[in-house]
Order: sequence, then structure tokens, then C-alpha cells
Amino acid sequence: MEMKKTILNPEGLHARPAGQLAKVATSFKSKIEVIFNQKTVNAKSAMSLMTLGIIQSSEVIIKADGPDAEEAIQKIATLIDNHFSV
Amino acid sequence: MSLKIIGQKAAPGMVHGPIFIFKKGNSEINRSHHLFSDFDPSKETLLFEKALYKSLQDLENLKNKFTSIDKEKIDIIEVHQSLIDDPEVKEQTLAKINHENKFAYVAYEEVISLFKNMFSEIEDSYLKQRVLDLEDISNRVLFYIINPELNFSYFSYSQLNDSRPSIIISEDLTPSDILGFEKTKVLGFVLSKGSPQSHSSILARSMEIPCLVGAHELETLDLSKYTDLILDTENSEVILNPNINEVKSFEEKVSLFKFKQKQLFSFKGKKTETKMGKLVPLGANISGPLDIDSVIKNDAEFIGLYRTEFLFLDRITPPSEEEQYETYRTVFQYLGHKRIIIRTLDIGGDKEAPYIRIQKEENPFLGVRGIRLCLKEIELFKTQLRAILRASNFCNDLGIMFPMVSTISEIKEAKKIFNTVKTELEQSKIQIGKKINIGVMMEVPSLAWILKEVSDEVTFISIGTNDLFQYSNACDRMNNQLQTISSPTHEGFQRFLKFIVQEAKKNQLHVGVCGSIAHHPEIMPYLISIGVDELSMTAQNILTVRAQIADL
Repeated sequence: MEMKKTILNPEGLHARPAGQLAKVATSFKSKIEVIFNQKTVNAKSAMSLMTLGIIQSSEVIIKADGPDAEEAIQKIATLIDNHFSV
Repeated sequence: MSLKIIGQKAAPGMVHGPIFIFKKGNSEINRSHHLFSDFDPSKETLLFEKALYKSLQDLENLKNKFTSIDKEKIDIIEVHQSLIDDPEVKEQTLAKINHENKFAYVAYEEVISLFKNMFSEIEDSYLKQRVLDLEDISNRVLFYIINPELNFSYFSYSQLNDSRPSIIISEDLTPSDILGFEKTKVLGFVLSKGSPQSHSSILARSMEIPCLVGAHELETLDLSKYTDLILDTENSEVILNPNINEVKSFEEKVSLFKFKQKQLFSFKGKKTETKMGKLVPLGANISGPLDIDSVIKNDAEFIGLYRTEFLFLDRITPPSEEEQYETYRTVFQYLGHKRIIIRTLDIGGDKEAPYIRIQKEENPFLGVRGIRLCLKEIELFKTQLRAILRASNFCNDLGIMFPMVSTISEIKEAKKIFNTVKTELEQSKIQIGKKINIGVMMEVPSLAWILKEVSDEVTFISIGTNDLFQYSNACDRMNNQLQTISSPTHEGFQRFLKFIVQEAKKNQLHVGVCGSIAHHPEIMPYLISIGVDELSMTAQNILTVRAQIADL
């Protein structure tokens, strides 16, 4: 399953937010990916997330596949809505 | 023959000492022995995993050396840890080992260079810096793959740690390099590359190690011919193999400097007062947590100007409320027992801040800057005010000051936004400071004639003499051809200052001066004589000025 989300926080997906997203993604069994600008990367990898160069107001697709996919997508959506503060 | 080389000052200081040439790429040394060993994927996998583990341990140990005041250092180390521990890097490296029969160090190096390429393809100054971070972490991991039994820090720096305290010459240094050196062995850094804004320069400043960067000429020299050097950041120069006369005159300069420092030290802990007993509090101008030490060391009585621009520059997106809050809170926690005046964002079209949409301006110094910009970018302004107000809980007496104000309606509008933010915070039951005053910078000349109206809105003004002078004398301070006109001792300008102070007093406005003339030896006494309430300056000048005032 997948969901479209807009990155709201002003600094986009720089080192720290990328780390937060990867950390949350890692807590799920499902395979989770982020798609942006025709590139798909592993959401559990902060390094890969940073290579996307996501800035504020970018629209990304979160894709999850696995036993806890739904929960994972919900958690990540909340994280994005909360500007990556946990 | 001695040789003089020019560079850029990145951290202040004056020192003479032996040269230590720091070269990178120690992990190359043992690489060849792998060529003679048999390939065993399970052995390579183990080597790789151990190397990651040891690298993470190293950084954990490094992190434990710092406390919360070193937030910048800890943040850099944590970013590095997450890059070492990255699952994608691990997976791709293991795939290369197990499916392509590659040695661990080859596999890891290939994966890292893949990411380096991806980073460099992105047009983003922030990510370009990250390439250097990648080099930093991969050097360490590669070292451990090749030398699993050795200690990276010890190996890289042992030569230095066995030698006398030295001045380190290198092409460039990574943050780990700097943090890895034994501090007592380092007298200074001289880098042929690098920039004053790099992470490494920030670290050198906060560790108070003199540092000169961008000394390009070093690259063309055979450094083995040189044994010692003089590093003098005041002149932005180094002298390689200085002759006896050069050493002598340098030492005189240093001892004079030290003698003065010692004399000045006797003024620590004292109030600033004239012979007649008039008190003139001296404040520090600061730019963030890195200046905390200097404020305490130089005994500032208050903070007359906390510039917040530093947080906003050299990045493609603005700092988040959290990031700002953390930074302001750190400053307030350490200095909040003193009165602090924080200035809201003061940037304009001349500064690199790509996330602010300013149209190209013919003359950015007369354009959309300071409060003019904040009233256009209201979200940016509100975020900053929220962060300041949340942090204000850690400050006993806070002044919030708006820059580049030219009309009363600007003050009213800014205050309205301030009050909205304050009400929002109060409604969400967030504690804010008990004593918060609002003030403005007095730097647009025409404001001087409406100080009565200004006093209906705010309680203090701070004269930003650098800009005020440039606007009232029609004189670009940076223009070398204008030197004779551009002296702040200009009689007309001095009378103008007197007028401003009189008007301020008449209307019960507290008035300070935070521009560079506040410590100008000839003008400072005049400022006191016309009734300025307080002066604020770079912390390093405070004790000198306190000594001068004691003689007035």
C-alpha cells in the first residue's frame, strides 16, 4: 500500500529528519520505500533518503509492503505531519 | 630563507612552533597484504561488520567526552554514527562481498563512492558538505577493515602524540581529525584549503586553537625544507622558517599582548565605572552558543546584541522552530542570569539564503532587509518568535529587538505578530519568561526624529552605529576609496549621535550602542559623555574598555 505526503518542515529532509524517518521505518518488519522525483529508495536508510534532495513542500510517496504495512504508513504519516519531532 | 604566506583567519591566535605535517590516507598502508590472501566471503563479512562496530564504538567514546554545552560537536558525531550504521550501505557492501566476490574494503569503498557521486549531483551546498562527512566516516571504517587489531585514532595521530606540541599543516581537516588530536599537542592549524565556515573551523574556534585556512601557496611548496613557523592570525599570515629578527619581533608582540591581557585580568569581576563613579555597563555582542565561553571569560555584564543570523545562513532551508529553540535555550541556560537582548533575523538580499524569496535588488542595503523582510515572510518571523519565547523561560530579563525599523507602523505590525505568538503559547500553557521587553535598532536616520512616537511602543533602543553611519554619511564602509570621509569621528555624525541620545532620554527610552564604535578609543568617551546608558561589543574588547573607562 502507498500514500502521498507533502514534506512540511522547512529544512526538508536533511540529515536529522532523514535520520528520524529511517529510525521509525526500521522499527517495522515491512519493506518501506520513499519515492520522489522518479527515484525509489529504502526508507530505512538515512543516507539514501538524503540523496533524494527533498526540500520543503516536496510531495513524496511512501510505499510499504509487509505484515505491518498499514501501521508503518500511519506512523510515518504522523511523523511527517509533526515535522519529524518525536 | 623565511617565507611569508597569506591565508584567511578561521580561529584567532598567535603562536610560534614546530611544524607537523598531517597526511591523510593512512588506511592505504596495509592494503597490499590483502592481495596475497585468499578470498573468503565469510571472513570478509566478519571483517566488515567488526569494522562498523569498532567505528561506532570510537564515535561513542568521542561523544562521551563532551557535555551538553558542546551540542554542535555531539550533533556532528551523531550524524556520522547514523551514516556508519546505514542499512543500505551495509546491504550493498555485503552483496558485493557475497555475490561479486569482492574484498570487504573494495566493496565498501565502491558503495561509498556511489553515494558520494549521488550527493555531488544534488545542487545543494548543505549536501556538498556531507561529501566531506562521508570521507571522514569511510576513512575510519576502511582503516578498521584493513587493520582490525589497531586503534584508528592512535594510529593516525600517534606520530603527533609522540612529538612536541606542534602547528599542524594539512590540506584540509575533517571534524573527526580535529576532535581526534590530543589537544595539548596542537598549537595551531594551517590549512591550504578549507573555509572559515566549515565544520572544522567552527570546532577550531570553539576549542580556541588558532587556525588559518586557504593558504593555497602551501600546495606549491616542498614542506620538508621547513621546520618551524609563526602563525599570526591577526595579520592572516604564516612565516615559514622565520629568521631571528622575525622571531624576536613576534615574541615581543606576543609578550606585549600577554602583558596587557594580564593587566586587564585585574578588571575581571569589577563593575565598569568612571572616576566619578558613573556606571557604564559593558555588554557582549554574540552570535550563538559558541560565544558563551568568551562572554564568561571576558566578564560581560550583559548581552547587548545576540545576532541570530548565523543560524539562517549557508543553508537551503530555514532552521526549524525546534532547532532555533535548542540554540536559544542553550545560550539562555548558560547566560540567562544576565540581561540579554536578542535581535530578530537581520538579513537582506546581500546574504545567501535561497529559501527567502527576495527579488534581485539594485541596492540590497537599502532594500528588503531586517524587519522589512520579516514582515513579508511572516511564517519565518513567527517561527523565530515562537522559538525565542519558548526559550525565554530560561532567561530572567530578555529584550527582543527588531532591526532596520524605519516607521512606527512597522513596530506596531511586528508587535502585533509578537502578541499573537505570545497568546498562542499562553493558550497552550507553555511557560515563557517573566520579564520581556521590546526594543528597536536605531539605524535608519529618520527614526531619530520620531523617537517620541517610538517610545509609545517600545522601552529601549540600541544604536547600530555601523549601519547608522553608513546611512547618514552616504558612505559604504567597505569601500576603500572613501577612507577619509568614512571615519566615524566625523563631526556631523557625532552631533547626530548626541541628538539621538537626547531625544531618547527626553522620552524615557533606555539607550545603548552596539556598533563597533562602542569600543573605539576616541569615540567611546564621547558616547559616555553624551549620556549613553550602556555599550555592547565583541567580548574580547570588554576588559580593555573597562580599563579605559576607569581612567575617565
